[in-house]
Amino acid sequence: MDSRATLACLLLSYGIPVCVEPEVVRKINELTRGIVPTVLDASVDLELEYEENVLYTDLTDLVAFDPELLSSLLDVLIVVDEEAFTEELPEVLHVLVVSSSPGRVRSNPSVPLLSLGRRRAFYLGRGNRLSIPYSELRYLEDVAVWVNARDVLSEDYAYRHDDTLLRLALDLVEDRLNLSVSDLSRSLSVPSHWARILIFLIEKSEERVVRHRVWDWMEPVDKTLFSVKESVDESFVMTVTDELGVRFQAWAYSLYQELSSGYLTWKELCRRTGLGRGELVKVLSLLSRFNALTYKFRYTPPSI
Amino acid sequence: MAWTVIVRVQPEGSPAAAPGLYVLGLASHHHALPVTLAVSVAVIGVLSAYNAYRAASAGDRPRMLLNLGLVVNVVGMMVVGFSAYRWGRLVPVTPGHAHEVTVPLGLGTACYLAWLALFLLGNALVIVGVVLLTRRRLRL
Repeated sequence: MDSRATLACLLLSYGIPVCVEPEVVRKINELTRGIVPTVLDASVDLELEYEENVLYTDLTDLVAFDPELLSSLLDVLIVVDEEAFTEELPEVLHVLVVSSSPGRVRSNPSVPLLSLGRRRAFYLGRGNRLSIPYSELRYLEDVAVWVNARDVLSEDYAYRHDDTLLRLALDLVEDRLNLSVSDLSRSLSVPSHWARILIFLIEKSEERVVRHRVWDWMEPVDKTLFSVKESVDESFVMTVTDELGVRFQAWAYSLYQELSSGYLTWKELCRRTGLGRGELVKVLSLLSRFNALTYKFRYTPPSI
Repeated sequence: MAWTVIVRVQPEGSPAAAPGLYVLGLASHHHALPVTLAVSVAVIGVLSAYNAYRAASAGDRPRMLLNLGLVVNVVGMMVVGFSAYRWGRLVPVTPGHAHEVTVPLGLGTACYLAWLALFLLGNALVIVGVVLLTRRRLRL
């Protein structure tokens, strides 16, 4: 249960919609001590332990009442029931789908979903459905590296929150201009995926962007196809890059122009935009912070 | 030839001796079935080597051991097959029915022992790999 909550946290930090059982949602809230601002839709019947940052509301009514509210929900984790996970729900939201049987959930056709069952994960894309035992999750390239899937079955995989650790991580993030997940993990003596969760929590608790300074936040990117969600437009990209300087904004704009045409590999993106791999990865990391990206992953387990 | 290792090869049915010798050794004697089998074994070897490499890169030890075991088995077949190809002679015993591959005793025995060692090692690796894979599946 703890491992699944950790895995879900990591996937959500990349803006990948995840489907889990209600118990796992409680566990995520418990593991992160309620740091992640959360909106619990009325379709979900759940009580969470850490409630300081939790809002219980009817999401559809809320957005219908004031569409401007949508922008304030961008940085919030939205928990909805599988029935409410429809095309009407704005896809740019940070969605955690709740289902009593994640293995049977249907995907919103526009956004691929990773459903975390008890024994296996399900990768639900457009028209395809892959059933992946957790031991084989390491072959789901490149996301397997992002979530440290090699260790997903080990007992030490689950994230254990420690306020001191979070403060230390925050100090390191503030001290250093150029960061890396591997350095952070070494400095804090924690597994690399814990370092990613700590960055995710710092971003949520401090309401800031850190990952564009973490050079390996989104490494590797060799096997993944990237695109932007349909509801992401120019003004969205300009707004989220506003504080990062004109140069960064220009990179993000040129990347957005290419990504909006469909799914592309990093090589195609480099060729079309003229950006280097480092610059490209920085912008992709930043866009993942605001759930602007959508991905297609390759799953290639060995034949024998 | 007095000092020979003899493998009886029959056009129908399989020989009792080392299958590697049969499969790859006869590849040089233009038998369609052995050639096909030899190519298949080589393809399995290449695939297994690739799988072992991928499993090793992904830190998947059980699958790496299983595939390494298959590679070792294939290498064993290659060794014994090469000996028959290089030094073996196909001698008709009964015209039109049975043949024998004869290999000089020293080289034949060395290759046979090498194949036996690789066969045992390869299958041990396969068994360990399968056991670890099964245990991992059960742990889920």
